[in-house]
Amino acid sequence: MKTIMFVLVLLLSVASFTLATPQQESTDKPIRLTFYHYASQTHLLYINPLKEGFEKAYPNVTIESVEVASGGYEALSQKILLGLAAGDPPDVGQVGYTLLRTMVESGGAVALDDYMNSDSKFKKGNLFPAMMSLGQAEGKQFLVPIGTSTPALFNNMDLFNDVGLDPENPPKSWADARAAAVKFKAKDHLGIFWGWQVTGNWIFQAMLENLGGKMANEAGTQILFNDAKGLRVLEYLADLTKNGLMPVTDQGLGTFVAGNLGMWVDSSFQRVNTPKQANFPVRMSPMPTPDGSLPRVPAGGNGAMLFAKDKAKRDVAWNFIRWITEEEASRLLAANSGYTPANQAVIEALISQHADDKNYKVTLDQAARVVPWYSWPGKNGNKISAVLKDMQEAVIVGSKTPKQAIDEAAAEVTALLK
Amino acid sequence: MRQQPKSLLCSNNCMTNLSSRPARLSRRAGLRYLSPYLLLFPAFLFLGLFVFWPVAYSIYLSTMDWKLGYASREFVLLDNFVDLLTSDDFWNAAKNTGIYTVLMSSLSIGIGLILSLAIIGARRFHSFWQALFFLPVAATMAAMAVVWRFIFDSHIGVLNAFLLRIGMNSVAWLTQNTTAMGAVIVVGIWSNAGYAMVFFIAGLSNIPKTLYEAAAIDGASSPRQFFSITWPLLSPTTLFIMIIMTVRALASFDIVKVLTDGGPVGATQVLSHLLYEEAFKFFDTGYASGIAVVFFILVLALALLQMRVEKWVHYQ
Repeated sequence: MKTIMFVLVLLLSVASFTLATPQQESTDKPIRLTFYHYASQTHLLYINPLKEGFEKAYPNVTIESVEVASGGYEALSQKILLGLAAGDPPDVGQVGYTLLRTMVESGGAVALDDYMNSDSKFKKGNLFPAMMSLGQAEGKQFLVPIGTSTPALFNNMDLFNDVGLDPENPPKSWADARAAAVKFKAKDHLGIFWGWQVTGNWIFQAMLENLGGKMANEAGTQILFNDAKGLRVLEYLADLTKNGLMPVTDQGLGTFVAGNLGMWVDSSFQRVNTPKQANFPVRMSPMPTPDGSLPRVPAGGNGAMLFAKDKAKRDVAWNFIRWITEEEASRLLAANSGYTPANQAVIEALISQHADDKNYKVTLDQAARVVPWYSWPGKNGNKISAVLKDMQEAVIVGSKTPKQAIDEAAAEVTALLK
Repeated sequence: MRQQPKSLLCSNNCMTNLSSRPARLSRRAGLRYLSPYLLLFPAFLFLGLFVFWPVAYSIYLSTMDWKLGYASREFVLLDNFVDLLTSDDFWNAAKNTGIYTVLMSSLSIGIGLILSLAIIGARRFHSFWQALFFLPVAATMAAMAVVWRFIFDSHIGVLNAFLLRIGMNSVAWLTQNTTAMGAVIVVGIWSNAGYAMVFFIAGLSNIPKTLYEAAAIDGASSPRQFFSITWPLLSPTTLFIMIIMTVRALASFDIVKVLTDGGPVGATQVLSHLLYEEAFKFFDTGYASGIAVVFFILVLALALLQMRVEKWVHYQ
């Protein structure tokens, strides 16, 4: 009887230990993970090595990709939401930072805190807290960053030389950038293009926060972008377009690589892609700020979220998500894209390894200065981003005054937040 | 008219015969009666699954407040329609859809007619000209719209480069409220005129030559021949093309999506693109289904209206 009791207690202990520990499932059995990810040409350059690297580290796991090749993060999220609606979500999904709240509010995303706290292989201390905060909602960690990009200034060095500006000393302040744009215009070049169209609110937020403004209060219940600082951002953009110093277009990359645009503010993700497409030397520098100081940079990019319904798959999927934060994956990402990984040690190593690469240095230096890209709460988050995009477009094409545009957008956003 | 099975049509006299016939025969008669329905069943099943069910489900979703992928959904009856009909965005999109549909359809039909008359009148290379003007119809519109986007681009576009070369000012075709819709309509016509042309060529080929010979003997001029013979006898073709063009214009999505994305500031926003944005950008499935239902009613009403025009159609 004692023996039977002993065996029962032992079995119960093992069972309770297994149930209480959400990760570290045996990985011997072959298992397939579905991974929904973005698959434009530039994104595949880093996604494929990441998949292959993980499969090599975990030979019993096969990653089945479901690829979304166009339509941006919205299209990718739509695919994941369709999977959730059909009761067949991916095990892991790549999600843009601004869509984090949409995914969490859908109810299909799995919080990662239990795994992070109980998995000894997960080294939270290795990761930039600022970047990890990009994946938090409702007080929990739902997303682990894959790659982060920040706004940066891309300068056409040939045009700088042509107008007598020093390409090694690009404009630092808004006033410097305007003065440089005047010089470009005088020689029939295009001045500066602020990439206002990137998701509609990324660059706007960057400009606003460097003026000391904010998009909304912490709870997201009250908008703040419509104050004097927000108006100043719009007035600055209106002044540039009205005086022919900024092209009226939404084709930033195409206009820049055509070779007649002096300066272009866009994502540091373009660090790898743009110089390859341009037939002139490109020098990156920090985005100009109102007073010329180093900018606060809202983080763009994406991370991995867990959606698996099955416990065994969740455990293996967590291994994949954790592996993405590790050194090998971080190096693969950095080598194959313009993204910055969240792994602090890898970034520091890359800074010393690429000390001569001035463009890379800009990207890596900015990693420590990232601030969250504002993700609007509630069901209308994406609609609010569209309203803010329209607000800027109206000012840029000259169909509304900055004051009219910001007042109308404020009323619309307030209504959408209710 | 289809012949009915005899056993079901005969009078009292043969009812006696019917009851005395073997059961096998009546089974065969029953089978003959059922066979048309059995043959139609696969088509009904297909239509039911892929046409009627989605329409019915769309109507059902339009009464729900539901975000794609969300676990909960709430029955709101007509709230989505109230929101829709009080939304400036909806009315702006409806107005733009009307402008685009009327201008694109009528100009495509007009240009298609002129092209078909020119090709029929040409002495040589009929097939070459037909193929040339039909090519845009066969091309993938999304890909072609990308090409058009670069033609119209303000700073790197071919069109502005040409204008500058001939001493004119460049125009921000796609980023000005005043020109963006015009640019979208031009691309719409480019992709649809060839479609109308092919049907007009077929219609023109069916008009008996003897009518023109008789008119020529009577001394009718070319314009008189066109308005008294060609145009009336092309009316069935014109009606058909009108319906097709209207539906194509209403469903135009790819051109707007790639060329302007509904901008600048909603200047080219059309209903199909608004529906896409609400459904797949903002994930507001209930509201988007409301747009789909209104859109469906609109297309149906237009098709019915056009069918009433049939009394003016001449079938020779």
